[in-house]
Amino acid sequence: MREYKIVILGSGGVGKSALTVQFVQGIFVEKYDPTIEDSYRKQVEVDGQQCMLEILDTAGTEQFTAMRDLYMKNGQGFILVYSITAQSTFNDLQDLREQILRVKDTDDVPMVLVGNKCDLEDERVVGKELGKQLAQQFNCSFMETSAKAKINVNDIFNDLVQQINKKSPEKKQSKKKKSLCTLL
Amino acid sequence: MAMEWINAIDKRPCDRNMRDVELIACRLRRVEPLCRLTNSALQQLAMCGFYEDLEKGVTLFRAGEQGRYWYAVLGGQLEVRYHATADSDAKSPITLCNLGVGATFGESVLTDLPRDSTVVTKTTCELLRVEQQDFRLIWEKNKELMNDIILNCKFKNGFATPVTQNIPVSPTKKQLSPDHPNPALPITESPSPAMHKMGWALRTLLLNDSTGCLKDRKVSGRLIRKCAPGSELVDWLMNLSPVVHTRIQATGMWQALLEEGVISHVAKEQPFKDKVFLYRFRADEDGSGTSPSTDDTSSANDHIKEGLTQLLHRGPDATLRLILRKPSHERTPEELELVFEELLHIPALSHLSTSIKRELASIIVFESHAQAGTVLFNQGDEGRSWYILQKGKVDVVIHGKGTVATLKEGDDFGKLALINDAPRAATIVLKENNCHLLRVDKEHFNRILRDVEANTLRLQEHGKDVLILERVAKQRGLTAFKYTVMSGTPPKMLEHLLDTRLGVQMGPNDDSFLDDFLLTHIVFMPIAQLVDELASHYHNELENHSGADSPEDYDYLLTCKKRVVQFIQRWVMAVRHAVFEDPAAAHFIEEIATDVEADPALQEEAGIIHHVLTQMSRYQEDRQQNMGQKWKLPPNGQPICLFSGNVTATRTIIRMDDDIIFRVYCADHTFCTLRFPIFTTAEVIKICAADKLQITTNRGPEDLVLVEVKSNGERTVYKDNDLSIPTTLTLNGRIFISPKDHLDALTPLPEQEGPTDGLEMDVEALPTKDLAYHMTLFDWDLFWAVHEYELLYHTFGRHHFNKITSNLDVFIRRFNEIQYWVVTEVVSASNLNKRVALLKKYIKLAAYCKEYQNLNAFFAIVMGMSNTAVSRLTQTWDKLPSKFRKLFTEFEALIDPSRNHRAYRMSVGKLQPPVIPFMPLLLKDMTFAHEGNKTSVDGLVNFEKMHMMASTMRAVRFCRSRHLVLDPPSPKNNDSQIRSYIGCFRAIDCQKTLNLLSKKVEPR
Repeated sequence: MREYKIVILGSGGVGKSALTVQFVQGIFVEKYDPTIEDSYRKQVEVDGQQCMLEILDTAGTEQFTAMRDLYMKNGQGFILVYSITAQSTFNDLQDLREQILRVKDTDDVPMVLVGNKCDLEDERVVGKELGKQLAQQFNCSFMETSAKAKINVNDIFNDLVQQINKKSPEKKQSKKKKSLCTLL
Repeated sequence: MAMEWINAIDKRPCDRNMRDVELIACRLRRVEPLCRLTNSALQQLAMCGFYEDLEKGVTLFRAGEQGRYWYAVLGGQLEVRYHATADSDAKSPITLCNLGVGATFGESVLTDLPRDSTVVTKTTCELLRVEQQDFRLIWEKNKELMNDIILNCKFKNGFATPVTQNIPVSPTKKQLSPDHPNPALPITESPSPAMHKMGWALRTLLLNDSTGCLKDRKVSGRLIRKCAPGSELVDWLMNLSPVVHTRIQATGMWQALLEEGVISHVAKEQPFKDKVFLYRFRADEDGSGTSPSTDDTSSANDHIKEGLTQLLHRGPDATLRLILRKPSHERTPEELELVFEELLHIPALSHLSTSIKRELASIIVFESHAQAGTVLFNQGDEGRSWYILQKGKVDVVIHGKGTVATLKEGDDFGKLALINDAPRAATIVLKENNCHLLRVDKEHFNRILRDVEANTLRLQEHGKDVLILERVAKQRGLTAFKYTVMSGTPPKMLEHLLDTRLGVQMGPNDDSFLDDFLLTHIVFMPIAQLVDELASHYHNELENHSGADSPEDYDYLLTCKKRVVQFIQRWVMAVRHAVFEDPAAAHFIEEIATDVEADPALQEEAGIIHHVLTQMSRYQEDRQQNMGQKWKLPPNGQPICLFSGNVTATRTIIRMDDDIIFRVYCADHTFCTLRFPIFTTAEVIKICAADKLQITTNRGPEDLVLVEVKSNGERTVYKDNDLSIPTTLTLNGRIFISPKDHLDALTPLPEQEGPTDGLEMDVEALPTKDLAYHMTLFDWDLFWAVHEYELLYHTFGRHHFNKITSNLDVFIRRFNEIQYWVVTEVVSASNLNKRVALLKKYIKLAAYCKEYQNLNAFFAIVMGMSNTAVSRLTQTWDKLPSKFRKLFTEFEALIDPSRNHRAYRMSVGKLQPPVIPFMPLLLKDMTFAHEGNKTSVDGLVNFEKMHMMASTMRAVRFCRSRHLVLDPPSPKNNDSQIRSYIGCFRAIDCQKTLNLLSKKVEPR
């Protein structure tokens, strides 16, 4: 099964961790233990293929830029999150994207721009159009989501996996032949 | 039936089958105090015991003989004789005591000592005899219970030594629930009016009946008046009315009468059976029955017409109760099926699977209690059974709280003490006459529940859940299990904690519940509330039912006090000075101490509390000494350092009321210098800075904000209620004040972008191992100053607690400082060879830090070398010797975040303290434990979350559980120079600047 490392980035308080927890544990599990090996892993089916996703989320470590850089270095696809209720979180993304491109040393990085907290329509300060424009500028896809109301959460990850597949199709592994025991 | 067990025990032990053993055990169980033994102990006795049926006057053994057997008296009386001289043939032995049913003797076989007295039968006797080696085995396995029984027996017979008097009398002596109720006996004290009338009518008709089945009969030479065999009574009833269709129905109807005492077996040994056993009416037994007149007959006939249907309906329930009072091995498959069907309708069992219910069907027992006010068990008793209330109501009473709940039909109770192996947490008092209960005894409860997949226990008070426990395996793969708290109200969790985790009986509950609670209670139960609750537990007063305090009550109150004192001890151990820092807690401890010292019954506790007081006064002295401690946030350099006070002291903790000196800048880069206690809010700083800097706005301070401007120009606005502002700044960040609408005008100071003014020294010149050594000592002191609580404040937001996180802030900054220092040094070296030498140096430094178990610095260094500004320097990396490149690849594998930082978690898991852990990951764990789990669920504290957070806090504690002691690598003169160098690294933390420098040294 192919493994994908997905990095979630964004300022503190945009709801990154909520997106991660929502995606990884879904609706059925009541308890989330972040210290076990599979805390950030989930198997999903995209285009008929089983994939294992591992989410690298910087939530809680925003004060350590080194953690962010480490995750960027390891990631294959990126989710840039802002909150539609806070302009500054939207503005911060430009720098983040530049840093990703620098770390990955390429202009073509699988990426999704996400406006989170779309359940809080009353408090919206970043219009949907602005989000779309930024996505166009970034040359990436765009979605508005709500981790709380479970809107579009899985779709972000599906979209990102499709982008990664498109950019770097899986190399067909040559089947290892079982060597038979030879009797001399 | 009575002979069956004798047939069984007459077989040789090796020939006995399970049924035999069960039969014998059943007989033994009817003997107090043997019934107190566990089932397995009884079965062992049944397996190897011999039956002795002795005439009067038989000498079992003489004083001075070597004993071979141990005995238990099942029937009859024996005499214990003592000879004053060693010569056992002396004329007049003294009778020491008589032994009756239930007595045990001959335990000297355990010690191989000769018999100290002679035992002779006084009447015909029935004894159980067990051989020495068998007895030893049984005794070994059941020491405590057996000892208890033996000592009790001695005590009863006047052999008690002073020691035995101190042994607490087992609470089971008040045992109300016989292990197996006798189905031949009635369940009420007297028949209900309806059944009484029915009995009268049936007897009247029977006596007039031509078949004359109710007549005087001679049984074993004894005349029994007006009795009839069960089968004939069944025949008669079936002929009486067409509503009775089957013999089973008729049998049930007669049993309904028997269970109310209207009829009984002539020897009171049998429930109603459709067999030849003889039964008679109560009226004939007590002689009150008269010969019926003709009027009686007709009125009886009338009554039967109305009442028989009612009796018919009572039949099935009576039959069921009959089955439920039989020992399990006497229940037939048909009967078990009946019980099983009944269990399907019991709500308290609804969550159990079919197979569990089938198992329960064979062991669940019916018991009834006639009188309201009967105490089923007392708070503090050993828990032996779980109960389901079938009929009636019971009150749940807790000392000091009164009646906390009234349970009704269908409710269950008594689980808690069973699963925790703890004493009963409440007293159960019957509220109505004739309560019916179903009972599952502990051993069955444990055996059967082991197979239950999910088991949640809910405790209610006043109709609401107050505590939810869940069964978990003690260790993976083992069948042993325990119960952990899932959620609860804060007061109930505290009560449960005091009841089950403190005090003498620790045993199976040595889990982390107490520690979890102590580490996290500030989230759900502020200290003020905690000490209030503790005080009420300490000053617990019983609701006096009787007026006078019984010794049990006194003991109970004393236990409450002891538990509170132990709680204080553990509290101080767990969170140290955080307890003393709180005025309410300090005051509470002093109060308790005064009380404890005045109470002669609390001597041991006085010692504990004295120790706590000593710690407290030491803390207070220390505080006094360091009063007015000042810190400064240097205008250019990093990090935060001590400005005054005891400068030489290492491991200085930053405290809330310490002062800190810092600058606040305006958009035009003018500034003022302020000095405030660290816990000062952003709002106060803002107002003061505005005043000093003469900033005026139209609407006053509401228009202004306090902002951090980072070296890369990023701005973060502080909320007015935020605390400990100066310590939370990023590495080269500065505090600015600005009108809300003009944030865009804020730009970093030029000095923020350049290297800050640490010591300008050539790193290369410093010995690497010495560097690592001093860095580790320095970092250790910073790490040591961080309190576990700061992780909680950091995760939940410090303003919620009104506390500072300064020690953690400083430690976090240290990580960034080291990392950017590495980057800054490498990109500042214009000479290629120098850069290569630096890389080698840092790789060696990382290796030494790893060796010293300073993983925080290790990560910082390796991550610094992975920074794009450094990693892009391909010329430099290419010139690095392969040995170093290989080492660096190994290090990179350790910081690989795959599978939730598996590589790091694995390697740190193997380390012994002292360790300086990689802090960012601990903070990430805290964050996700917080974000991924609710703090409160249905109004109860989600304690699973608290457990998770406490586990991370414990990890921090574990790392520091041993002091750091390192041998200095070399006793050199430049020690102080190295110390000042590593205490203040020159670092640029603006990525853009670093990238520019990098491009300058190696343009691609």
